[in-house]
Parts: sequence; structure tokens; C-alpha cells
Amino acid sequence: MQLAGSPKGDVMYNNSAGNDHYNLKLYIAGQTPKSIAAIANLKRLCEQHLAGRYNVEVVDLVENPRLAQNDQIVAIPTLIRKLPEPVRRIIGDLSNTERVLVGLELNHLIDQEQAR
Amino acid sequence: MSAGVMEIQGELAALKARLEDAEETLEAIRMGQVDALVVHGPHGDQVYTLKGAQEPYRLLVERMQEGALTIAPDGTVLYSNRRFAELLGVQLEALVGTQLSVHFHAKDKPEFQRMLEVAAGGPVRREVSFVRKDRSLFPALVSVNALPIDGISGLSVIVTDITDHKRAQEIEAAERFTRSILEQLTDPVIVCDRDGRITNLSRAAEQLAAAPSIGVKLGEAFRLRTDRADTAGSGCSAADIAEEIVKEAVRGKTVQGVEVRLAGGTNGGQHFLFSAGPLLSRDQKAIGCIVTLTDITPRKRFEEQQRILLAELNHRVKNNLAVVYSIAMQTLRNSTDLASFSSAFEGRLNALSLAHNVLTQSGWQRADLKTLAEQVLAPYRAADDTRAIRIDGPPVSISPQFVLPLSLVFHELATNSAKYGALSTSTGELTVAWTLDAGGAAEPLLALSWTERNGPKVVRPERAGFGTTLINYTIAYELDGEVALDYREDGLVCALKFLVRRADGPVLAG
Repeated sequence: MQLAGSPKGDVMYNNSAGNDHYNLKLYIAGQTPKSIAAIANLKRLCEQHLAGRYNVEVVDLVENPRLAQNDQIVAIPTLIRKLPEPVRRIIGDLSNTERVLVGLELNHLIDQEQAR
Repeated sequence: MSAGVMEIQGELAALKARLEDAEETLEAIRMGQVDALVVHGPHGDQVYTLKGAQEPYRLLVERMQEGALTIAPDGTVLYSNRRFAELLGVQLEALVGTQLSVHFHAKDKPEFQRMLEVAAGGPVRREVSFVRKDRSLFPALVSVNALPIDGISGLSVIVTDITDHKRAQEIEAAERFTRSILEQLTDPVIVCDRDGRITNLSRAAEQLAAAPSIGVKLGEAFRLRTDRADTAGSGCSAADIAEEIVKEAVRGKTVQGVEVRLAGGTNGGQHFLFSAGPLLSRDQKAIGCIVTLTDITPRKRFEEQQRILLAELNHRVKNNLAVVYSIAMQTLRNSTDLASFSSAFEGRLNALSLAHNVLTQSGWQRADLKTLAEQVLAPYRAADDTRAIRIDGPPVSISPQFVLPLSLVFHELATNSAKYGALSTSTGELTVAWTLDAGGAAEPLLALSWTERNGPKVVRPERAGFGTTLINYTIAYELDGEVALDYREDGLVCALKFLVRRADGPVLAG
């Protein structure tokens, strides 16, 4: 999927690498409302909490449904945390920030988020 | 812990994780967190979007400013967005199922038919006119493209209203037209906005302005003065007049023919008729004004000349009456009987009349000395011209006030000669010659000699007759010159000298 600001293909954000680097993969289905919301929510969260240590690959299953098999995707949108291990998956449009932070094991940031 | 137990615990943890994932998936579906599912079918994985997933596309098409339609290959409307119905001014529900071509202007229907035929081969685009429900027309750009939907062949149609675009084109063309008119106009024409600032002006006006004047207030760009009575002749200031007139024009009034003159600059002193009218917008509102300056400098100059001439004429008529009265009295005094009075008086009046003819021919401007002499002496030339009268000298034009005295002098000399001198015989000769001592002087001296020869023997008269008196008086007082009469035996010689004054006296011809 081609996105504004992404120089090539599916890589939406690629901000360096390190020990606590987050490697994320977001599965979407074209421009369905939940897909669009998921992209927007993820971008906001990453910029707020993981600036400089994450990269996100967006996979549009409408363009290539076979890619669903790789991560056994059933419902869309689905976010997969590839790194750090273990692999975690969060299903939905990522509008519930608290749930996403728990899913990404960034629980310590919940208070900070709530303070906003 | 045995390896078997550890293996079971590991499998248990993995199963637990998969269960959590499955539960989360179900929860997400139940809570409406997802709007698409991946379904494994006979042809591999497929994505099925749930209700509402197409909403963004629907909104995009419904909210766009263009008309968007899906039509069957025969032109039947299968779908139309609300915008297209609005453009036509019809109900959306009434549109679906109808032939799209019925909404085209008659002249464009065949073209639309051709578009339908070729659209399968690739997108086509044309400019056409649609007919609204109220029968009015609007121009549009129509693009037709093939649109395969689930194996059914259809066509997508996008209709863009280009009324504004067309209007902009018309305005641009009108602007160009206006500009070219302004450039061709010989009169200065200036277009101002509501505040009196110049937005456009003709080439003639550009040349008249002191400096580049677009955006400048009219009164500052053109230094106009008026001599209206209410300003006591002091000349109302430029800014005041301009401001006042622009205000009137913007209020919708037409101001006609206020006389102004341009102060200062290379065009200073020029006189203009200042007229202004409102510049109306499409809805007839005054959005500025158009000012025309008509150059009336030649007219003003003519009026001034006419005023001077009238005063001159008045003065001359009075003078002439005085001259006629004086001539009558003097002639009477010197006449022995009525017959001699009649003859002498008639001759003198005739000389005056001839002088007037010469003045009339020159439009009361200047008279040529040679023409004047020729006219006065013409009656004394014989038909076969055996008697030689020679008139010779450089061209000199004489102002009106010198013409009458000179013609009287010529008349008296000629009458005298016809009675007693060279013109009384067939052998006599007369030469009237003059020279002009220009010498660069502001007031060159004109020296004129009247020389008679080969006439009867000249005898100095015992007493000066009226003729001699008139000559002496005229040259001395009217021409401010000198006269010398020399009664030579072989003929009279009269020498006249007077200064030629450039301003109001005789001046050099040309």
C-alpha cells in the first residue's frame, strides 16, 4: 500500500532501530472506515510514545488477500507486534488507546496517556 | 520437572495465547471494532467488507461537486448522485431509469450517442450543454468511461458544470476587448474604482498623466484646475474636483462637461471637458466610474480669438464712422460744388471699402501689403495695361489696424496722380516699392516709396489739399511714422517710413 510520506511500498514509518525497537504490521482492507481510523490512531500513538524507535508496515488485503495467511488474519483491521517478541495482535480500529498500550505491553504509559 | 511436563506446559501456554487471540477476535467483531473479514474459500482467501465499509466511497461520490452517474450502454441512468440532480433541477428519484440523452441540448444529442459508442474503447470527454428543468442551459464538460460491474458492462459519466469557467472566459475576453478599445481611444479615458483610484486608463490618458498612475487617486495623477464661479476664479484644487466628481459618478450620477485645465507638466494649460459616469457591475451596481477628458484647447483658443476680434470689430466700426464723418466734413470743405464733392467722397469711401475687402479675405487676421496696394490701384490700371504700375517688395503682412490707414493713403496718392500726375497721362509710370530693414531688430523699419515718372510737369500746389493733410495725419498719428512728399518736376515722390511692430503692428509674412 502506497501512503503519503512513505518512500517505498508498504513501509509507513521507519524510524531507526535499537534494542527496544517496535516492528509493527497493520492489516487493513482498502479504505473501510475502520481501516482509515486504525491508520490514523496508530500513527498518533507511535509518534507520541515510540518516536524514533518503531516502524510500521501497512498491508492492504483488498489488493492482495493471500497475505492474510502469513499472520492468520481473520478480522480487519489487525495490528501485529512483530518485535519486541513475543508476537502480539490487537484487533480493531485502535481507538481504545489504553487497550492498545496494554496490547503493545506499554502499560507504564497508560497514566501518562490519561493525564493528557 | 520432566521434559514431558515442560512440553505440555509449553503447549498449554501456546494454546492459551491462541485462545486469547480467538477471544479477542470474537470480542472485536461483536463490539463492531472490525469492518472486514478474511474468508478462506475455494479460490483462496477473500476479503469481505461488512456493512458500512463502502461508506467513504459513497460519501465521496455523493459529496463531490461534479455530477456522477452510472449508465447502461444504451444511455439509461442506473445511478446518479444528488449533485447531478441538483444541476438539472430535478428530483433524484425521477432521474434513475430515464435516458440521460433527454437532458442534453438537442444539438449535442448526436454527439452523446457517438460518445456512448466509443466509450468502451477508452475514456471520451466533450463540452456540451444540458437543459435544466426550467429550460435554461448550462455548459458542462462530460466524460464517459467504461465501468465493468460484476461482469455487467456499464459506463461511468462525470459531469462538470463549467458555467463559472465560461463566465471567467467571457470576462477575460471582455477585459481584452475593453483594453483594446482603451488603447485605441484618442481621448483620455480613465477608469476608477469606488475610492477614485485609477484601475485602467487609455493610452492618451497615460501620456497625459504626470507619472505611472494605476492605483493612484485620480486627483493626484491629473493636476486639474477649474475656474468655476463658486471658487472665485482661484482655481479649485485638483483633488477636490476629482473627488467630488468621482463621488457623484459612483452614486450613479452622470457628470457632464465640467471645464477644467491641466496645471503644470508638459501638457500644462491644456483645457478639457471633464465628464464622468458610473461603472456598473452585472447587477447594475456602481463599482467605480469612467472619466472622459475631451481636449477643448483648440476651441478655447478659438473662443479667445473670437472675443478679441469682436472687440476689434466694435472698435473699428466706431473708428470707421469717425473716419467717414471726418472725410465727409473735409471733402465738403474742399469741394466747390456738389458734383466734385460726390466724386471725391465716393472715391474715398471706395478706398475704405477695398481695404475692408482685403481684411475680410485674410479673415481679419493680417493683410498682405502687396495685395492691398494692388486692390487700391486696380481701378487705375487700364484694361490693356499700357500704363505701367509696378508694385514691388518683400512679403509683409499687416495687422488690421494698419490696413485702413494705408489703403486711404494709397487712395489719396492714386487720386492725386490720376488728377494731376503720372496716372493722368498714357505715358506716365508709377512704382510702389518697399524694403524691410529687418536687421534682427524687434521692430524692423518699413520704407515705402511712391514714385511717379513721365507724367505731366509737376507743380507744387499753393496750398495743401485734404489729400495731403490726410496722408500726413495718417502716417504721423495712425502709423506713428514719417512721410516726405517731394514734388519733383518729372513726378511726385512720396517716401513713407514706419516701424513694423511684431506684436500689434505689421509683421513679416510667414
